[in-house]
Amino acid sequence: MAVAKSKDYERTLKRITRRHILKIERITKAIELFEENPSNPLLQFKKIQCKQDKNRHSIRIPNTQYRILLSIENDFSVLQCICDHDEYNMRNKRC
Amino acid sequence: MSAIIHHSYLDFFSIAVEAYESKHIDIYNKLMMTLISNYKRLIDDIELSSASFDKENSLSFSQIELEAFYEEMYDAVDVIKLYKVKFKSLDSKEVFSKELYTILDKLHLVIIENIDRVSVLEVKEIQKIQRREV
Repeated sequence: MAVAKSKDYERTLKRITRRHILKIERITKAIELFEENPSNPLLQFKKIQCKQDKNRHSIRIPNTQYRILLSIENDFSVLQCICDHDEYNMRNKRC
Repeated sequence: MSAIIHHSYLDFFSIAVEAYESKHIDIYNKLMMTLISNYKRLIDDIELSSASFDKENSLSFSQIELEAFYEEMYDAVDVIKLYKVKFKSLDSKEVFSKELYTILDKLHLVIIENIDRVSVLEVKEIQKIQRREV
């Protein structure tokens, strides 16, 4: 599956790695696992009900409380952002 | 969009906390009322902005504006988190402290929603370009 990154994703990546909350290798590994097989149980891949984006999905960065939101259309994924549990709920609450 | 939450507001809050600790309750009350009313107005403005993004199908930001938008909004989220740390010195049952905390929670939510609206439009733009290329 082809993957593109949004500016929001890049900004949240910078926010998390600069503060040493997560190492970039861990995030990159999660994306590689997703590209190989989105259904890998480590990723807890799921579809999210969202009126704004009907293609919204999420994957977990394994063994962390962080998730990556992504939009999937015709085998093409756009990584939207990396967020912790609270911001994940906020983003999806009234989406 | 202009700077969402000025760091100077956080300084006002620090002064309010000092006033509370030194029993200058009048100063504390005035500063807290000012912060509460400013943030209520800000919440309304951000919700209006999100509602306008809801109606749009494409993003009108340049790449530079988009980067500046995310920078400003995530900075605002960081300021809210700093606020929450400073709250530890206040009595959580005190009426203004309780109200400001609730308002900051709401502000955090509306800022994240506003970021998400723009982010969804950004994602749609990327998908549009991809569809054209295929």
